[in-house]
Amino acid sequence: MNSQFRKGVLEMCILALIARKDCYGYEIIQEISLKMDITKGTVYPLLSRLKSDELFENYIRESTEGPARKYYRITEKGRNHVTTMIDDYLAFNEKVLQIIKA
Amino acid sequence: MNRSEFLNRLEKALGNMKWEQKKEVLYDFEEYFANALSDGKTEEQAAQELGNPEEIALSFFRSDEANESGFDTKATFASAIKGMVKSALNFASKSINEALKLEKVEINSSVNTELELADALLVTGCKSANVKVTRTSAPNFSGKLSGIASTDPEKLPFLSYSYAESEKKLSFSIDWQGQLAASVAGVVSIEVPESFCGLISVETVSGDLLELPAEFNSLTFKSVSGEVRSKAISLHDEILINTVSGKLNCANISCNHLNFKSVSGGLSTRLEKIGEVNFNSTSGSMNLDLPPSSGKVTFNTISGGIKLKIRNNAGIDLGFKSISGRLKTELPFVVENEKKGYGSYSFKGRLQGENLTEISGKTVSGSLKVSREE
Repeated sequence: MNSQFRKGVLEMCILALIARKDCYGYEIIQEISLKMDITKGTVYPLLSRLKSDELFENYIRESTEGPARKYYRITEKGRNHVTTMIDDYLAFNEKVLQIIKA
Repeated sequence: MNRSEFLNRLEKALGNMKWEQKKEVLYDFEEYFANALSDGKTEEQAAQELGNPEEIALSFFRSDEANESGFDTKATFASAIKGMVKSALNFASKSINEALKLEKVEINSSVNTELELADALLVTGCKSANVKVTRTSAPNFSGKLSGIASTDPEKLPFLSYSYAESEKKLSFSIDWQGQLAASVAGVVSIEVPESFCGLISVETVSGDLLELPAEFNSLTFKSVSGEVRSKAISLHDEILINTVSGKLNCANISCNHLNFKSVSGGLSTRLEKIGEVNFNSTSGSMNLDLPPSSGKVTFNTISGGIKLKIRNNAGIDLGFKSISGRLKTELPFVVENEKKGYGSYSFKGRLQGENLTEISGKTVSGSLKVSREE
């Protein structure tokens, strides 16, 4: 798959996950790699960029069973962004399906 | 590849990224390893599923357009590429080694400089060879390289020197005769005359700094995994240590300013006299016996823990901030301010004593222990 396209989809999935509930890095990576074949380490650069775009913010919470964890929480800007992204994607997907299934 | 190898390679490939940001990135990967381990994975498995550290570093630069977020894109990109070239070279030199069938040869190469005065002594290009600097009653500087070399027997590595008149800088280095794959398991011993009291600067890849003379001006040591193992260091001005995993392990240190920067290397010593200590490490810990006189100590770590021991009558002014690390002490601090928040901790207080040392530092998960010498 084209890597730009792949990256866009991966970005959308990350945002969608975090929009549903606050997550920590390892959790995000596990969730996504259950469904998609990704190089796990490259999720962090994406997270870092989405954060610098202010689509989400971080806070640290201690966990009972392990190390302190850095959580990602979606911002208002991030929520708007991902909603538009998903709408666009679904509309696009519908057009594609119309063409290939015609 | 284990956890610390992964983090070291990543740190290197991240090159010129701003330290604050680099720390954030390294913290994320540390956290990943911690989570993966408590998930029952081994460090090797976790490293493998993360992928190649140099490629990950590259995606940090690619996914970042502008300097606004603190990257000098060009420079960092270049250094990530350098990292990749380096690991390719490492790989190549391994195969070269096999192709050339390098032989193990004993070497003993001495060089006498006839030079009596210098302000700075540089020892570089030592790769895996250890370094030793001692005083001699002879009036001039000399050097010796001894050990077992893995080399083309036609091209034995030898110790050479050059002198920069304008800066009064004397440099020793091993001349590898263009052999990438050659190495020496041995020692570079430099002898300096009694009159020398300038700067000593040593660079190695994995070689340790074994011995230093007393009473010179300042020391710099740069290495990847090499350690400072000199029993005692006593000098007038400044010590600068910069390593990836190399430690500073020294029974006694006396100097004006100690500056330590590492990724996973730690520092352990007893200070006899000190003006200022700066300790900066991602996962390395600091174990410090403070001197009776007053001074200033600052530290900044992610997971590295800090242990401070205070002499009998001395006191400290302490400021400590952490995310999940805590202050552990049984000493009667006069607490000015202590906040235990949700995912944050801060402490400000004083331990009464004759001479006050000002201590301030930050960690992410490292704890701070303060005790008094028995």
